[in-house]
Amino acid sequence: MFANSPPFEKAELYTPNDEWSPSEPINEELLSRSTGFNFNIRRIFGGTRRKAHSNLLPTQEAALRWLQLHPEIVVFNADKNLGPCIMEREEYLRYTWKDHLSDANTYQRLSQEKKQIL
Amino acid sequence: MERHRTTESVSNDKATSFMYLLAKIHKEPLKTWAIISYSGSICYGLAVWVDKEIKKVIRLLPYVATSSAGVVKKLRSRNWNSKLFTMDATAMYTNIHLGHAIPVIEKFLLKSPLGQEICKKEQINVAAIIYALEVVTKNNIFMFGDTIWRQIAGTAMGTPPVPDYATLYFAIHEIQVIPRYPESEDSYGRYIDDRMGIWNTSLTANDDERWQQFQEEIGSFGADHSFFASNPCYTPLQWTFEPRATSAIFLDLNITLNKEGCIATTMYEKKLNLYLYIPSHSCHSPGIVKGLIFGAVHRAKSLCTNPAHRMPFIRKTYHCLLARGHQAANIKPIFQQAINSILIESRKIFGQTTF
Repeated sequence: MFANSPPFEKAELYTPNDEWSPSEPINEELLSRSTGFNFNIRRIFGGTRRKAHSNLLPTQEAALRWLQLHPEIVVFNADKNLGPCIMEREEYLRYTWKDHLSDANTYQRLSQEKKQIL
Repeated sequence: MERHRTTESVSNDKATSFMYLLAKIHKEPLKTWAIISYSGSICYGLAVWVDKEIKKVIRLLPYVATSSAGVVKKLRSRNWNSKLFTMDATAMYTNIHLGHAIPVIEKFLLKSPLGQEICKKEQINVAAIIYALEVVTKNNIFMFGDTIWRQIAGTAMGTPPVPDYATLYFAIHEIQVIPRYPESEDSYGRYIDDRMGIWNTSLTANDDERWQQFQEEIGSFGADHSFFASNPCYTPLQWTFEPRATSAIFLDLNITLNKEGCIATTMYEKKLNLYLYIPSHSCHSPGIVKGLIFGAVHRAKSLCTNPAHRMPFIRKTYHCLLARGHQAANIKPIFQQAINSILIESRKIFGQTTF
């Protein structure tokens, strides 16, 4: 701007400073209100977290729990997105073997060592 | 970012694919599909990259049907004195054998004029694609329970490049065979394992013989290749032909050939369709429902050659959305807006598009 002035540098509008924290409010009323607000917020939402409301019926929840406790039953998808299927695990394994894995021209069983080598 | 996405899967060298079944409950007796999920396995990133590269080739190939709207546009462009035919591959993925497919694809991309032109245009590194394809398909190691397996023949469902790889593989045969049959050359189209064409019955005197010859040639891809000679347990890809007729179902189209030789198309939907549109309580943005409705109206317009067939489909979509919990007051104005902006032509002709 002037002949002897230092070169103009564009000042940044906002420079974050992680170490800075706001000082406590001097106004007593503001301080008491802010403390009261924090206290009530903690009272309402703090402590034990409220459980979200399930969108399943109690019978559906019971059915899911029952399935979790019965590993002999497999739940899997149907082709063409036609919904879930339930089958006994033994039957599922039998289908896998009969329809697919028993075909020695297509599938080859590997040992753990062979897998590591490959 | 893209490089990271491709190489990320290699960071976990213990990751393996998993096999699971899907039940074909619509078939009697019950059958199952075996899906080998590549997602998360060590080769996944490479498989996605190959898929992307093969897609660049596919979109420049002839006889590949990219959409049902494209098929309708192609067929409507002229009159046909002919019959429709469709064919379906028998277990396509498991019958595409690497010993035949890899050399055929490599030869096509490196030696054929079309392949060379595509590679030059799309800047494709053939050696890299072939090597990556070999790595992905030959190392298909997967777990089922606590057992470890390897697929040694065919190609597994669940591997990213497989649909395009299968399309490319058979397109190479079609590029050689179809031009020899002018009876169907102009109309022929294929979407992975589903094929359709119009066979001009009046072009040659020995039509039945030509049709038989066509079927044999289509089903003999690679029959004289050394791979099949040295591995008699494997056979070339087989196709099942439906008898030639005046109507056929292809993709989501019901195609009919009338007496004047004109093509009429309507929409085809399987009885198994559950119409699982997003429910009203879903957290999707409201624009998604609008897009769905506009898409349905646009689809009705582009796939139904007879304007009278469009409104029943649109009404059906409306009732399906109601069944999924949407409120009539919310979706009806959107339907009306879509009909007004898309079906202007039919509104002028029939004056019956008020919803």
